[in-house]
Amino acid sequence: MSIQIHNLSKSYSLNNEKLMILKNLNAEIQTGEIVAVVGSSGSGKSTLLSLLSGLDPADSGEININGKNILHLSPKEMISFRAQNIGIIFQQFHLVSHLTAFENVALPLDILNRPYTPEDILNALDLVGLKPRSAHKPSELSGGESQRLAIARALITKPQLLLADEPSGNLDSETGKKVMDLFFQQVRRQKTTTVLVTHDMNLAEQCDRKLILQKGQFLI
Amino acid sequence: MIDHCLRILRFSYQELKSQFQIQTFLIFNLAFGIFGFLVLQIFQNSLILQTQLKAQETLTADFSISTRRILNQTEIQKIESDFTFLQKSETKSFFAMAANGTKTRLVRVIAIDSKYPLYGTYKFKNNAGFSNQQKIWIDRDLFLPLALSENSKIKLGQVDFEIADTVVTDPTLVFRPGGFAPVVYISLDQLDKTQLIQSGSTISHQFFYKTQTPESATAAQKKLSFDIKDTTIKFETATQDAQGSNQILKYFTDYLGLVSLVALGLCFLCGGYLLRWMFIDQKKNIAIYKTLGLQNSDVVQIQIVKNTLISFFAFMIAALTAIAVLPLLQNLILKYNLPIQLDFSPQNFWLTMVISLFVPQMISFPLMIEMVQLSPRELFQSQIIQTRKNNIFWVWLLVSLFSFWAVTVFQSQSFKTGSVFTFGLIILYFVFKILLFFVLKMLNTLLMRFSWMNRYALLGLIRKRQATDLVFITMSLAILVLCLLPHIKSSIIEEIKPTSTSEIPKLFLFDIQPDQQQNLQTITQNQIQQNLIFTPLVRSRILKLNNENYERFESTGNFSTREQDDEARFRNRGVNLTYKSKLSASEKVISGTWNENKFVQNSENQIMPEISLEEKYAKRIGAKMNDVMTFDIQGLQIEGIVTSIRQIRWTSFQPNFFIVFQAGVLEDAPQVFLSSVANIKPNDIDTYQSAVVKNNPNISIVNLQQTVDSALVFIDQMSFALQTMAYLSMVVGLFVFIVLLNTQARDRLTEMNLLQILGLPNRKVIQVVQRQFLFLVSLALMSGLILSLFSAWLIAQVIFNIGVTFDFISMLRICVVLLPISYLGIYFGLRPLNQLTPNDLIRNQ
Repeated sequence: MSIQIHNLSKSYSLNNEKLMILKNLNAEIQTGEIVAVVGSSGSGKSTLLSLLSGLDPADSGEININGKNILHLSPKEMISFRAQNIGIIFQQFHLVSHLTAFENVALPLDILNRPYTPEDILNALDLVGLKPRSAHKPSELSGGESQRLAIARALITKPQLLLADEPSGNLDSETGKKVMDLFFQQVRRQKTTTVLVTHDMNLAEQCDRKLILQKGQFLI
Repeated sequence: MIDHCLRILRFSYQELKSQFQIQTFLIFNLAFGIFGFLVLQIFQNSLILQTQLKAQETLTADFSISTRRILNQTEIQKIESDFTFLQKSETKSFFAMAANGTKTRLVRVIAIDSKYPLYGTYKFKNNAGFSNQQKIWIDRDLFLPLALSENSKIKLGQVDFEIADTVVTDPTLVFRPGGFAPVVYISLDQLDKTQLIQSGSTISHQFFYKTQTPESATAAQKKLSFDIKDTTIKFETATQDAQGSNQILKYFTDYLGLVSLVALGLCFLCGGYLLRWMFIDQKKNIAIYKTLGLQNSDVVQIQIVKNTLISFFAFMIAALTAIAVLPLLQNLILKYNLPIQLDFSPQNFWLTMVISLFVPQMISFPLMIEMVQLSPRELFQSQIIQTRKNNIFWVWLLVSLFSFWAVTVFQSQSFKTGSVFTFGLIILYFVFKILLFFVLKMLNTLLMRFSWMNRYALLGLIRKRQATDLVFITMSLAILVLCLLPHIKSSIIEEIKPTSTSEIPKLFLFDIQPDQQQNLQTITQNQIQQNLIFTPLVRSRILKLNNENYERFESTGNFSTREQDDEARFRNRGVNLTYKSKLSASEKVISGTWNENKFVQNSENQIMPEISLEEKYAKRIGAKMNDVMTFDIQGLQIEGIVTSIRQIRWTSFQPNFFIVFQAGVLEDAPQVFLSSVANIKPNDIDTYQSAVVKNNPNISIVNLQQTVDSALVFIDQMSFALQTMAYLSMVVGLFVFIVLLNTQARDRLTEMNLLQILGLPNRKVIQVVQRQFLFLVSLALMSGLILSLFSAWLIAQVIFNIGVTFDFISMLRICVVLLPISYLGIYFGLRPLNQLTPNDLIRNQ
């Protein structure tokens, strides 16, 4: 899945003052490419992820995914498009607390009404090393395990685009490294187009390409 | 010190402000419960105050002496020599039949002397007053059944009386609702002419005294109670009489108070939940405060100040609302002819405020312990550390339950009722909890058979047990209370309502003299072609039970609980005995054997006569098989041995007795007879009564239908008030439900945002939670309804010993009203989910 971003702008109003977050942003990401978006706090990284995932409307510009401008999709179409094509990983995992690891991974398939067997879920958990913890709830998992579970959940639908927001940001460096190794291994195996937002330059170096965001624009 | 206080106040204010909406919920939730409790307090205290204020008017004196027999002049003069008084008045009262042509009606005749009343003002239609000693004064309720006009004459016994005036307000009856016989006043001088009082007649002879001060009346009562050990004579001050006179209303308000406690209990349950919810929400902040140097004592003080402010606001809202609705309630009370002036007294104010301020502190005590135990290290941990319930928690739980029990005893003025109520609620709590456990367990096993959305909705219930339990128990309990009352009411009505096809008697005839039996039988055969069965009645007192004195003497006349008070009254009341050879159809022996043979004096086989006791009566007086009881029958002592215990179906309304002697013992004792008429057409009643009264003016006839009708009016009034209070419980239940929905919706915003990100449309996200709560409400409704049936059956069988008649129409009505309201509650309670912003998951990291 390829992504083309043309003159993308986004602003927010705060106390009657307009804050320009992204200004005429342009970029192109090829199918299967893993791109790191780096930048300081407030540079607009999270806003970019919101726009790419269709959770927030842009002021102007285009986001073409596989040639389709997602900014023109209706909310209903966007929900369906996102569920079918996009996986998201959060810094704070956002797992459903009352569901087990197994149920958390099965959740996106349930929502999409896609058929699956228990083996499909257990295999996905196995890929992130959590098969023995399938019956455990998020509160019984460590931070590293929780993020691995979030990765398994994001990849279970085999999305063509994966958006990851500081996936190791909440983890210690050793755990973070292990999780990210697994992350890269999985996305490369599935050839998933990936946008990884991070502060960590070492992590960014492991990606195919890095885009540096500063004051709402990519540095060339 | 001032700086410290200001700092604590500032922190408290900030925390209240930060959780403004939930705090508002909490305030209104508490206000609901406090309102119910406060209104009840106002009603109860006003009743007590009014009865005290009107005590002299109710008794018409400062002090009275009363007996169930005629006291002769020597006896009364001897008693009067023991105390001083300013004025004296005398009455004799009894039941008799009043007649106007062919119309007859049972009335209570009060024969008064010229000094009556010493206190209080009777209001008459034509302001005649008790002046004309040749005429009578009648209750206005007598006009219709006797078809009277202003110039009619009423026959009482052998005399035709002219009506002097109609009594519009009788100060002696203001606190005695539901009386079944209208009152007729006649002059004491005229009593002998009527020839209504004969040997064995049920009569009350009273002497009223005006004393120097109320204190001298109390002193006289104490002195006489101590000096004269005769339980047939009752000495009462105006205050004591007032306490007894509003007994029915007191019972009623005590039960009403218990229903209000259900509402209050539900409010505090919900309050506890909200306080915990806020604590969890603020846990991180508390840890931060502690890291920044806030002491544990400060954290606790902040919580105490917060609780105090919340409780105070809740109390003020409740108090202001109570003041606002007081005129409305006052109108309602006057509509039911209760002369109670509702008064919001300082006592109501302070008592309710203390409870309002104290209970939330008590509820949040476990939270305060958790706050102290909360370590700032939680800030460095991603997982929430669960604090374990330690010994202090269990002690707190026990203290709380004990306090609740104490409040129920105080509210019901009864150890028994308070204890049954408290333990009933605890049992119901566990019954609902166990029921829910099994339902959810069953659903868990069937989970995979449901569609994904239903499965997810049910998982939310199964895995979030605390919230599920609270909604379920609160709603079920409120529905149970609401549905229980109509069942109990319909069961009681069904039991006492005579039907034309039943064997239940339509008329009771009492005070029949032995020589009147033949004449009465002839009249009955001529008029309605039936044979009467006469049951003898012998008046007596129990002196001893197994050589232990049975009667109880009061030294002060004041008892701490209703049970003790009732017990003394019960034991000193005197008992009616009968004798017979055969059991009636409405009784059966459940222990021992029934002796059909006549007792033979000085027989070798039998030393003393056998007696049979009614099951519950035996339990109450503490008698069992082979116990020996000693009776005083008109001065003669007779012993008997308990050889059988009987169960009586009282609702058969047959003439049955607690104590039955073996035949051959009491036949020669002074006695009167009772009888009943079962099969008589309503149209024949007037003619029959008229014929009986014409020939036997001293015989009193109770028309069961008329008695039941007056009782039904009273039951209707009482049940209306109880039902209103039950609706308050339901409103509280619904409020709890909406609050829980709201907090649940807030708790689950992240989860719902996530579902949306994962591809579930907003409409379906809301549907998931809606289905979850719809299921829970429906389950609670069903459980409440089913358990109300079971509880009604249990109460009817065990407490009232009657068959149960379910009021399915009320159940249906409650369902029809509650379901849409609950669904609306779900709709509004889940409103926070309408503004789902999944973007927050990315933006608010």
